[in-house]
Amino acid sequence: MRFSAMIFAASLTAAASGTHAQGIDDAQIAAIVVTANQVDIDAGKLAQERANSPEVRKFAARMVIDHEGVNKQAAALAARLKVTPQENDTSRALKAGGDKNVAHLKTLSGAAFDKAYIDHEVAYHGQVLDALDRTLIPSASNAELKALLVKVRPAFVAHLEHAKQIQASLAAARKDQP
Amino acid sequence: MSGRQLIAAVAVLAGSVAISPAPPVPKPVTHTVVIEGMEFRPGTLSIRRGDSVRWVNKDIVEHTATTPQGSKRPFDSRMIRAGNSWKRTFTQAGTYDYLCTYHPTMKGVIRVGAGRAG
Repeated sequence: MRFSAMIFAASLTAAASGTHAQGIDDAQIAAIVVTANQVDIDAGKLAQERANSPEVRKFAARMVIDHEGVNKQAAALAARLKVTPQENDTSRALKAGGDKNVAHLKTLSGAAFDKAYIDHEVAYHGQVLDALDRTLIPSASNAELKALLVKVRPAFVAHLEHAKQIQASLAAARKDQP
Repeated sequence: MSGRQLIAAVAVLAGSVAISPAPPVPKPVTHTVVIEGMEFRPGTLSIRRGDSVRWVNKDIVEHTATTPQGSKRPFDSRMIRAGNSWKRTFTQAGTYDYLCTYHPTMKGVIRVGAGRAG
């Protein structure tokens, strides 16, 4: 997980550090946003079935609903602006990291699954927030796309806070066990 | 002063007290809490007994306005879709803590004063 996180961060930095002509454009931003949501939807779909704790299953189900909702709005905006999301190194790195996470989660069960899923959710939402703040929002050219990214940001913050709460309660539960 | 004059004076006084109007009871008001940016705005709202609160979801995802489990005076909006709203009239004074059941880090308070509206 950490390795794929580094790739995600590095590819975003490389994309943003070029001149505007070489840097990240709206079509690439759209692909990154859609992929970022899809990665969390995929992990959430697995966790809502497989997680041990009802609290984790409920959180996972909410991730699926919220991120599907955001993707629907992103897709509608892209269609209206006639922007076709363009796959790029960053979106591909995100997808690869997401697939790796799901494959790893499938080897786990019980409390170990819950811990791994939630730990990844905390790290992942933090990384996406960082990407939104450092690269995606500042680089967006179209005002509506920028506004959508700004509107979406608080959802990622709330998801991160909720994931951290669950992370703490899972840790407390583990301490109580003999 | 004669007895009749005294009675007349008392009647005039009583009449003048009766004529001065009681303070008007304020009409019930519907207050708005906007749900946006994963927040309830305002986070704390003070209202009168008999007033209503309308939660308007201007956010990008679904939310609820729900009192925690075990609340003495519970309410639950259930799902408020983006673009929709939900209204509740508060007939009992007290402090109502509530949250979004989908996003439990989102919290709000309604303070219902004892003074009556309507």
